[in-house]
Amino acid sequence: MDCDHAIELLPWFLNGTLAPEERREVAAHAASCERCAAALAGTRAAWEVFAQHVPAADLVAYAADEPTAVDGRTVERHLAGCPQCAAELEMARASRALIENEGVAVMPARGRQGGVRMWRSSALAAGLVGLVAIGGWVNSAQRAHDLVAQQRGGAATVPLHGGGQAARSGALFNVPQLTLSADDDSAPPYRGGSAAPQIPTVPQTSELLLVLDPSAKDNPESNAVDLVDPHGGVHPLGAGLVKTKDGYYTLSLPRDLLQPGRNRIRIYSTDGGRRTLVDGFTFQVGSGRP
Amino acid sequence: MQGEDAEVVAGFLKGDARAVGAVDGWISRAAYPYQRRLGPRWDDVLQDIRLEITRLLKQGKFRGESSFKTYLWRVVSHTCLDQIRAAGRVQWAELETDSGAEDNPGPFALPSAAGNAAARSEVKDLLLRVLERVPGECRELWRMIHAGRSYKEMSDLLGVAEGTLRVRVLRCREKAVAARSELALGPAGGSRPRVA
Repeated sequence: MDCDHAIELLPWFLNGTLAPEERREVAAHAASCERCAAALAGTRAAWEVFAQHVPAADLVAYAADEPTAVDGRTVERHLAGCPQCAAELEMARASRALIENEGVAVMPARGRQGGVRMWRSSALAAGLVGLVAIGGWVNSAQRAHDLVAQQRGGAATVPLHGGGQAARSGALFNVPQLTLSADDDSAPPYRGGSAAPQIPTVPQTSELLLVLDPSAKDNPESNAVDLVDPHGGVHPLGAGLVKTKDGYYTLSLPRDLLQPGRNRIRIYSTDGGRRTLVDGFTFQVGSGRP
Repeated sequence: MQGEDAEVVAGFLKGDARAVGAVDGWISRAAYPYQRRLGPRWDDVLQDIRLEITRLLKQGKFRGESSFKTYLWRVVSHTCLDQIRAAGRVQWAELETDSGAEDNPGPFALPSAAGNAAARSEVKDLLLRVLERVPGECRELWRMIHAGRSYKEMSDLLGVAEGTLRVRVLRCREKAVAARSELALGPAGGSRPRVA
């Protein structure tokens, strides 16, 4: 193994996933070669940078609309680009909504499904709880199932993030971007608007947290979102999607809603009953967890 | 402190069943959104929260500046987020011959827990601003590394050759280090981190 190869392997040396033989060779370089030792120090510095997240105390303060210790603008910019922190913020907000509003029952928790990293699905759960708590709309597991039925049947307009209040305020986005996250790390989050070349694939067994990242400005019109399933069926997902404080529009999809094949989410602005397609996002749903 | 809150706190500290039950219920509700993520540690974390609440109340830390429920929410959320993050944190492996970067923490090293909180926040702010300067693709690649993915797994998941992946990650590392140096030292090579 030459120095260049050893340097390339340093990130995986640090995360402990190299094969034993590779590990021994990289360690030998780093211990005896000045250039490799410097590269190891640089890799550690990069590791620390990429591991940065908004401190938990600041996330809680932000969720409480209070000043943060870290500069508030930095927090907001980080939240706009970090799905993990955005998901944790969502959890903190859902937590507050639940403790402040005891009239809302919580849905029974489901069992853990294997050893996958679960922050995304936790965010989904939090998002659903947020819907429950803020909208006072679903107050039992049975009604949660009704949500799926409603969305499948396409008979009802379902208030999204922010519930009834959101539907009334009706802010919208302009040329949104989409982050699509499954409940494990089997695939990287998909980012991009309708012009993005790649079509992400997610397991059918995943729950999805769709995070719409507004690009330039908000359009103060009402809006609507629907899902086109692989067979062409159209399922209204709701209206009144509003921008969260962290700059996202979040939309949680119950897992039972998705069918294997190519699905598409369409976003409309509505004005005086007329709907105009704003953007659409296509993703492939697999038949199961990979 | 509001009269009702004072009553609940006093009852809780005295072990009054109704007060204890009410506080326990509020804790459970506030912790509910974190339950799935905490997985099998859920019960242990709830117990930690109960003990922490008891400790804080006994020390008179709750002074009624917010409602008691809001205070509980803060403690619950802070504890749960800390636990979630601690479980997901991957500490880098060390060479057998050194002690990692601890001996040479560099210009962005966070002050110790006992150090100045404002200084810690300032450094944290700087590190977050360094991260902003790195392309999103790099963050995704390194997120996978932090998640403990091998380069073979990443190569398969991303559909790129292993060599291509390693070079991309290397370039991302270089971008992060360059951004870190730029913000820490500034273009003129100053010695102190600059704060906007």
